[in-house]
Amino acid sequence: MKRLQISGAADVSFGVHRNRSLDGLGHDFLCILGPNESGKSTLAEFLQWSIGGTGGSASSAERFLLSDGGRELTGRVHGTLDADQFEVAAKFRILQRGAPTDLRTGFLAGFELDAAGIAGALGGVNPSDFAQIHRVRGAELVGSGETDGFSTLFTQFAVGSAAASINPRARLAELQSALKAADQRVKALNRELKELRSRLSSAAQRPAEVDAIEAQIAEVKELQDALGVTQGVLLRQRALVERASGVLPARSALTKAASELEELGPMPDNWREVIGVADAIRSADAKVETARVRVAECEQDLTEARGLLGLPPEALSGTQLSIADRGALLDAAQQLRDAEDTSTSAIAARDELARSIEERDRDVQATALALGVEPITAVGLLGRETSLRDLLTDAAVWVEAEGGAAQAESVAVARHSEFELLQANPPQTPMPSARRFPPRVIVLIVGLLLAVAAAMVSPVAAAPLAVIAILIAILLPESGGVTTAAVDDALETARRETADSTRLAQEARKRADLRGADLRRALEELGAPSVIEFLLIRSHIQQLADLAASVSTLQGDRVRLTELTDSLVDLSARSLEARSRLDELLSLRGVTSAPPLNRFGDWLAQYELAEERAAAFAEASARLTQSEADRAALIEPVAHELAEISWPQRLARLTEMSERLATIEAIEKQHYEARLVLDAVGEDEQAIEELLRDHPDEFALRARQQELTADIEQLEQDRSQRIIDGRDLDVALGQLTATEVLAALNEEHESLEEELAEATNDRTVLQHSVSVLNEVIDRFESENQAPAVKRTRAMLERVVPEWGELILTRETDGKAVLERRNSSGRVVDAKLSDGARSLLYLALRLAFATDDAERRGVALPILCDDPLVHLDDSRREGAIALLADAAQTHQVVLFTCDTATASLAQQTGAHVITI
Amino acid sequence: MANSTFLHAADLHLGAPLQSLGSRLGEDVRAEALALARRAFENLVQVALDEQVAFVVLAGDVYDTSDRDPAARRRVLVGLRRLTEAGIRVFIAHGNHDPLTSAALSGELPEGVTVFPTDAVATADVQLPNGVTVTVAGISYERVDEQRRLVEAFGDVSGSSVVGVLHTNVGGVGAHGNYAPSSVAELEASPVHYWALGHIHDRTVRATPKGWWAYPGNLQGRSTKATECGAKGVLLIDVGADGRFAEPRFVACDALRFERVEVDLSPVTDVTLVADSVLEALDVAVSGAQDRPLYVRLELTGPTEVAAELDSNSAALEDQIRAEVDDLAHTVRILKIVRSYRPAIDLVAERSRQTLLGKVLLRLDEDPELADQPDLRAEIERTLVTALDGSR
Repeated sequence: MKRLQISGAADVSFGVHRNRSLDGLGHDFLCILGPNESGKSTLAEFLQWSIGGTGGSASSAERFLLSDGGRELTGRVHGTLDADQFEVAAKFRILQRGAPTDLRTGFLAGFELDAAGIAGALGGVNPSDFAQIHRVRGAELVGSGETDGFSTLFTQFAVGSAAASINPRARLAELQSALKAADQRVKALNRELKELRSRLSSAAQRPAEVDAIEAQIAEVKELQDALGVTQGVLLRQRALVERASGVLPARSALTKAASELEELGPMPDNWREVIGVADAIRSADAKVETARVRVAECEQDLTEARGLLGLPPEALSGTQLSIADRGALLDAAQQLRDAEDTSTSAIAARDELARSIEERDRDVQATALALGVEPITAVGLLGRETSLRDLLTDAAVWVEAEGGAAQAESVAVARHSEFELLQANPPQTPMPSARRFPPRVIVLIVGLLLAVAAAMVSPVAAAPLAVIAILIAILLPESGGVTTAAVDDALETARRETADSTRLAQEARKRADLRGADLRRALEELGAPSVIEFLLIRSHIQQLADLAASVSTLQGDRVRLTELTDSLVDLSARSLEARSRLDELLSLRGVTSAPPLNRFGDWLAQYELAEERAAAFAEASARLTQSEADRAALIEPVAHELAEISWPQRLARLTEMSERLATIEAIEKQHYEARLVLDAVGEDEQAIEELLRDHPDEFALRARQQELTADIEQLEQDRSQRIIDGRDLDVALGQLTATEVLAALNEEHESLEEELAEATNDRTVLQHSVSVLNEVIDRFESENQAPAVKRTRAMLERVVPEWGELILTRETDGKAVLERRNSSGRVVDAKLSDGARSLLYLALRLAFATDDAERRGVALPILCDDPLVHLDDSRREGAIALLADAAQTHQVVLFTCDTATASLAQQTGAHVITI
Repeated sequence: MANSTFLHAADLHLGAPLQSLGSRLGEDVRAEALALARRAFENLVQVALDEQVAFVVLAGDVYDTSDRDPAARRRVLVGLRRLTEAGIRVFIAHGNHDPLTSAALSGELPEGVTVFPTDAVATADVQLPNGVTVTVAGISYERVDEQRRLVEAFGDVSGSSVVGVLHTNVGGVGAHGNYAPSSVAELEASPVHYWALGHIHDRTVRATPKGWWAYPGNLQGRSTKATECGAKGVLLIDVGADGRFAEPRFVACDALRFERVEVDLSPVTDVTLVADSVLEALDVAVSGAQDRPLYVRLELTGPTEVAAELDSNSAALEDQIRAEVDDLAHTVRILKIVRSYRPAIDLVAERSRQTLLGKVLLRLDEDPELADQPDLRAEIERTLVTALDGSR
């Protein structure tokens, strides 16, 4: 392990110091003695900053500003790190806020270091650790001590299970909290149970309550019955009074009624009988009037209907038109209409046909004349149409033959003309280059070919074309010459061709003439005239065929006209028959004038309506008769008295008699009621007579009645109240007996007891757990203290042998607490005396300094700033001995103002410097 | 000749309101459970009819408190009428829940129903179909806290096949009120061959030199207390032609069932799988309940690696379990979830280590107070192991 030994400080400008130098510090145990305010603590601070680095806040650093206000603190510290020279050039800038800026540099064995390098050379020391462990203050216990400040150190240096990841005290606190909750729950359940027991006790009384209520109900009922009895007596008395009150007027009413009845006389029985049905009579009369009105309406309707149809009064018998009748009428009308329509159509057709025959006959005559056919001959064409149309083919053959002949003749003429032309203009001397066909030959050939083509279409046009071609050929100039032999050959050829063509033309002509002769003969055989011109033959034959067709049509029309004329006779007979049938059906229903056939349906509907009205009229008449009979029957008992008067008078008489009877009956009723009142007195007659003696008039009786009524009402009120009371009691009883309160409470009690047992068990478990855990934690902590604590305790025992145990424990929040445990009990560090605490913290720092040195591999100086001010002489001596021991490992620098302390230190080997 | 049979039931507690369910699950659930619970008595009647029993004995606590509850009373009367109309005689002894405080309590019972009096043991001979005559003897409580040793009143009963009907706490079992106290020796010394007992809700059947004494348990469980859980019903006892009573057979009559379901979380290494383990365990319980609605007290047990996670998310876990159970099995309702698991720590190895937990365990091992209280010790150990779980 290395050891840092400070040997001196130079040019210190820090706080009160200005360019101060201090040499001769290189001792293991150094004591710097100086009076108060001599700058010892400032120097200690300078050394702390220079070695450990600076920390803290700007405000805490403010006190070290230079006296002239300078904010840059400087100085040098030199010493050795083992054998190596070590020097720190300290420089700190005090800022307005935050930690001072550390601008230290240094040298170690000739190597330059910055602030980090200095820390690294010293085992990675940091300002807080150095200040906490290596700076010991005696005067400021609060700032320098308190175990809490060491919590981090304990954690850093802790070993052993007591400082494992869990905090057993925290877990203990949880259990204690749970125990508290369990305890509260047990208490709450006990309270609940107590309350439930009380309810149970009350519920157990329910049978008695029920009995009591039942007794009350019985009592109320008894009272209610007694009130009822009393009320009954009073009601009877009041009834007697009421009856007595009725006796007096009854007596006078009886007399009066008898007199009035006598005066009115009796009502005859026959009138009583009729009056008994007076309402029925009036109703019957009303019905008669209604029926009468109805008859009049129906009659009017019927008359209107007859008028519309033009029927005599007897025409409508009142019977309904049956469906069959209706059908027969409609059929007959329809048949008649159909027959008449058919006749009309047939006549029109006949007339039209006759007109058509006449026109067609005129056309045939005209056509025949145009074709040169006699009318008689034209008739002969009947049935020849087909034969004539067959001749159209023969005509075509003739025309074709004529065309062929014309063509052949044209060719012959052309050949002949060529020949003549060739003879007249033989070919010239040969040409060096001659065309094979001269232009005039070409023109001639083309023209002849055109003529031939034209002859195919129209033989008449062929000849002119051939002539034109020849003329053009002649008029064209000669374009070349031929040899003489060639000329001869050409002439010979032309002559031969001319002869051939002439022969062919003659043959063609012969054939054409033969065809024409055949056709004319055929026409003659059919009795038809012929024509000479072959070009007209086809149209001629066509016209003849059309004529033959017209003759045939005319013949057919004439036959149909005859047939139509014959059928008209039958149709006329059918019309007459249908008319007769309809007339017969109508006459059966009294209809003499036939309705128009085209509106027969409408007429029939009106007829049916008229029949319905006739039926309605008949029914209304019958009803009137019946109503009159009913009315007469009702009044029969007095009919003989009323025979001479009208019905309105009869009804007036009936009303008069009814009113009289009503008066009689009212008086009879009054008489009867008075009689009843008097008869009702019966067995109470005696009592009523007495009552009337005491209350002789109506007023006295009424007063008595009111008196009794008041009493009865009062009793009724009392009784009603009792009934209400009884109901209330019934409700209460019902509520008591409706639910099984006791059962529920018993079960709740059982459940609560179960819960309580569980809660009690939980509490027992927790109590025991807390107790065991507390005990074991104590023991465990005692047996497993951190090495630093053990060393501290050993040092303390050296100074204070009766110190006792020193236990590091942790509060539930994890905060470290040092406890002094001895025969006097347990005292946590915060409760120790200043002296004990300052000794404790000194020992603790020395112990941590050992741990720290072991960890860093460097033993750093321990700067003690009057740490013994609170110690008594004995403890001070012991403490200095501890410092002396520590000086074997670390350089110990003891700043003190106390000469005795310095002297003691000197005695233990410290080198003392006075400043 | 063939055996004849009689039915032994006790502790019907008709009219019990199942109040505790309401506080845990809500009134609607309680009402639903209550409606179901009422069917248990109908089931009893049906079993008696189906088995063609010769007679039925009800050994006390027919009603939960008294027979004033009109609905409960009506159900009983209807059931009793069905039994007696089928020729089945019924014998009723009243217990501490329904002491026979007045004759009115049994005034309207149908003919064929015998209510044992309170002043002395009454007997009745029943001729069984197999020709055997069984003497049925019994006595009722006259008050809730019946302190008379009623068992002694059976000393004078005689008969070759005697059924003694008594509501009693044999041997004074701690959790129950020690009413009409009796002992096994007294039961065995009596002339009764089959003791049809009531009061203890745990079904118990014990042989005696003469025959049996038996508690059928209550007819319908009412909570997740250990004694209320599991199948509940009646005992059927065959009587041989020789008049001997065969070992009672149990037939479940409960219409809903309460169960304590333990879920061992030791194999669970992922907290998301806890619900699966729960559902697995519930599956077993559901199939055991044979379609009955199940009301469950769930206990999560065992050393598990997920203990710390479960502790820190206990509310969420409970919600998740309830939701999943609701989704998967609508007939299951979780009444309570008890967390008895602990961190997965090798406690034996821990003892040999110089750790705080090891010291705690050693301290518990040495605790003389806990030596004879293993359950308490286990709970304390679980609490401390959980508290000192370093993974929390």
